Amino acid sequence: MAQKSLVSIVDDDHSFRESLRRLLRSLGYPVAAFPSAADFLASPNLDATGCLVTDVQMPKMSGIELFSHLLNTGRQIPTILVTAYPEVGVQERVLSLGVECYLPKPLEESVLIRCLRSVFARGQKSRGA
Amino acid sequence: MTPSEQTRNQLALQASIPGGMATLESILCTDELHRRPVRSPDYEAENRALVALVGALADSPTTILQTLADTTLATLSAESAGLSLLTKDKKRFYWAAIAGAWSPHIGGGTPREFGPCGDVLDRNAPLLFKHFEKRYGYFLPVTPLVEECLLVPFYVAGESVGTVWAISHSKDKKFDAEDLRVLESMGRFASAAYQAVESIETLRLEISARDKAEEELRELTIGLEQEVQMRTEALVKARSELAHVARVTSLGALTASIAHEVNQPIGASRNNANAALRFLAADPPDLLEVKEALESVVNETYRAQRIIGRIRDQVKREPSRKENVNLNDAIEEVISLVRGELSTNRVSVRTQLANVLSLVHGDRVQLQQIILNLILNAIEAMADSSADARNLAISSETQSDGAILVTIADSGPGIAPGDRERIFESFFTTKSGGIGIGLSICRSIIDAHGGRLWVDNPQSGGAVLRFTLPTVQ
Repeated sequence: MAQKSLVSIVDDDHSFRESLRRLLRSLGYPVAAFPSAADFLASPNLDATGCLVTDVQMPKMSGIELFSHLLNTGRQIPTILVTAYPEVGVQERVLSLGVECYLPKPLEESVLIRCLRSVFARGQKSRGA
Repeated sequence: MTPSEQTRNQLALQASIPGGMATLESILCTDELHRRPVRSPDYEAENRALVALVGALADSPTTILQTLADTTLATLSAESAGLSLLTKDKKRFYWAAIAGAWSPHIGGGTPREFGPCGDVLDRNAPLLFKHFEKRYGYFLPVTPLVEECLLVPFYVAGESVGTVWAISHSKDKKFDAEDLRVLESMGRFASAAYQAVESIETLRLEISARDKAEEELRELTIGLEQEVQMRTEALVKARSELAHVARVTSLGALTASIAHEVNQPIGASRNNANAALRFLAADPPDLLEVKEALESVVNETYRAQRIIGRIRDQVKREPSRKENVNLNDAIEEVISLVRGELSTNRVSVRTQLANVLSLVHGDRVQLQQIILNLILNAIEAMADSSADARNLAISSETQSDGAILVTIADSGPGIAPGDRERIFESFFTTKSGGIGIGLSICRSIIDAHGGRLWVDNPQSGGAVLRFTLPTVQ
């Protein structure tokens, strides 16, 4: 079973989205980037996504709503939430829902790397005997 | 003839009237009209008459009937002329207007069932009478006696309502076909005049009813206008209060949205710089990627600069409106604005505002923005305190030098001694997610007003922010 290695980025802010794509590329991950949750859900990359990195505050569908939607439709994609408005109460709630990480902007690179590694390590572990 | 013969003839004449009543046929000579010498129609005279009548109808409708009688008299060269109108009960004709020799008899009339007007209506045709007193004895006292009387009916809405007539009292004037033609013209005018007069009567009634209605309407309108005025004033007041609130709270909302926005270019810059370092450390280094990444970093710093510039623009854009401000009122207004925040955060407020406070000359909105900022800072400072220990104290007093001193004290953790001046520096913040704009702006506003803003050493824990403002002399 081939591990899904694609990282999908969802963020309505163009500059941040492109900068994150560049950073993930420099880290060696295959990346796809989307300006909205709807664009991501409609793309053929949906099923190939091994990790979703999404902004929280977005028009129409927020990052948390996107995560809930994926859960409700039976898609378990490990998700990292990124936000310019970190709130302690929200962090507790989304982590209990199963979100992988809840990170404030500007991103702390080492923390992001740690999150990504734990997502993909788990995937690798499940492959092994 | 001897006088005695004359008298005898008169007596004989009177005696020859059987019971005073001649037959109708015997007093009619309508056919004569067409046997008499033909005169060519004087259309000009007729037109002049009609034009004058129309003018009179417009100018003085209430006297039109008399004008009609006068015009008939003149145009026909009659000796008397007039208008008879059927009463509402249709039992009598009364002489509504008379010109000429019979003028004194205006208001008199004849019975519908027995009289020349009645005959005309019965036959629905013009009639020429001679000496109708032979049949209608009641004319005998109406002097001068009538030699010939020419009558035409006139109609309103298909119904005959009266007659127009011309009278000659001597044998000199004998009516002819041309007279009849003109009289019929007068008759048609009489129709119009009658309707006009009727309308006027109705109008008069309507007018008085309408006057009454207008009076009531006027009073109602005045009442409504007053109400509209009051409501408009209330609306204007509410709207300006709302705008005021918006201006007072705008700075906080602005800094909050800018905090969110400026994190984007800063976050993107960091990602790009981190990526550049990684591409540089790769084997071999991907210099194209490094170049693109660094170019992006530079772009993002410009974006950040534009975002932050918006605060300065916003503050500058609002022109400073100086007025005499009662600080106690200003403080109380702000407290009512944040009532929601206070209760959500379980903060209790105690105010000690001086009874008498001189006015301060300044921008009311800016001063309220400062008070709001200080209160919100206090609420946030106490967020980690236990719910029953969140106390906010606000006071105002007059100093010995005449200036006003306002104090805002909270029961939070207080401000570290080393930070007491630093908190007024731009971009210094002890809040995670805060960008440290508020206090530096507050201080520059207070400075601009000739006052001072500082942190005091508190007797017991918590932060104490004070500012002074000079008063109006």
